[in-house]
Amino acid sequence: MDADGIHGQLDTLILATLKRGEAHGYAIIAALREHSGERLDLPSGTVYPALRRLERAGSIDGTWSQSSGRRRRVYALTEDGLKALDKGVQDWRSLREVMSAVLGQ
Amino acid sequence: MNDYIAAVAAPLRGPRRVREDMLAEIEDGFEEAVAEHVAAGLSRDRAVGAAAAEFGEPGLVAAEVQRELEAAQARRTAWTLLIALPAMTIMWDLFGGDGDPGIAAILLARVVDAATAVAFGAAALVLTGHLERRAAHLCGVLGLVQIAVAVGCSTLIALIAESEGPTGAWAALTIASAAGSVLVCTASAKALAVARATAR
Repeated sequence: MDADGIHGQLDTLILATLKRGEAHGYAIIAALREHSGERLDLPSGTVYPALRRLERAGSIDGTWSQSSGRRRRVYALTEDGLKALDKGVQDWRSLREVMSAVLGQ
Repeated sequence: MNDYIAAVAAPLRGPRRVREDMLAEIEDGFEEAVAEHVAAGLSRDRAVGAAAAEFGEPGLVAAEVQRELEAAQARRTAWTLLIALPAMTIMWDLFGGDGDPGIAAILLARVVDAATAVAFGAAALVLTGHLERRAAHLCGVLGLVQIAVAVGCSTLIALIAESEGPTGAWAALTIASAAGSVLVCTASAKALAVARATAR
């Protein structure tokens, strides 16, 4: 799946990844790649601004942490983020149903 | 800083700390990607190329980062408006003297109040998350309009009001207002510059 098709769903994918546990930016990128079976072709650099946007919206919490001499920002899902994830999943399901119905599959 | 991060950083405008934090975060991830490719057997140069391909066009990443910088700048300018404007209004109400200034001066003062209320209201909407689109641009414009209206009307008031000559309190008020106006102007100009960089 290419970046255009996935862009609107990126927030939901990031939230779903963080539901499995807190992670830093590159771990989220790696998890997205792994869980999509390497099929997600996303410009990974755009994950970082998306994380800021989600943090601004209150969906995730970022904290700087020092691990093995590297200063890293680690993100965790918030209560609001969990709700946003549920809504994202619902929206995706409705879109999929509409697409399936119209395409007759 | 490697070439890729430098290319992302080049067009960015906005609060320095937010900018540096975001770039450091991207650079950290980029180095992790490079290390992965090196571990898989690529030379450092080819690993950097592969990581750059994964991270995407620097211009594309920069545009997304710039949007976050704009949001951060909008909040900063909104805070300045939210604090400085009421402070200046209260200051004039408390120490501006209590003689009858005449109807024209009262009307002009109301015009200033209206401009202040609009800028303050917009700042409050931005900070409570009710206004996001073009927030930096709006805060910048309304901040500058407020200062222009305030300076213009205050000058007119000073000209038409029957003043008893400059007193110590007036001098202090004028200096404090000038300082507040410079603060608001600077914050507004920054917001406009960052908004322009985002629109590019």
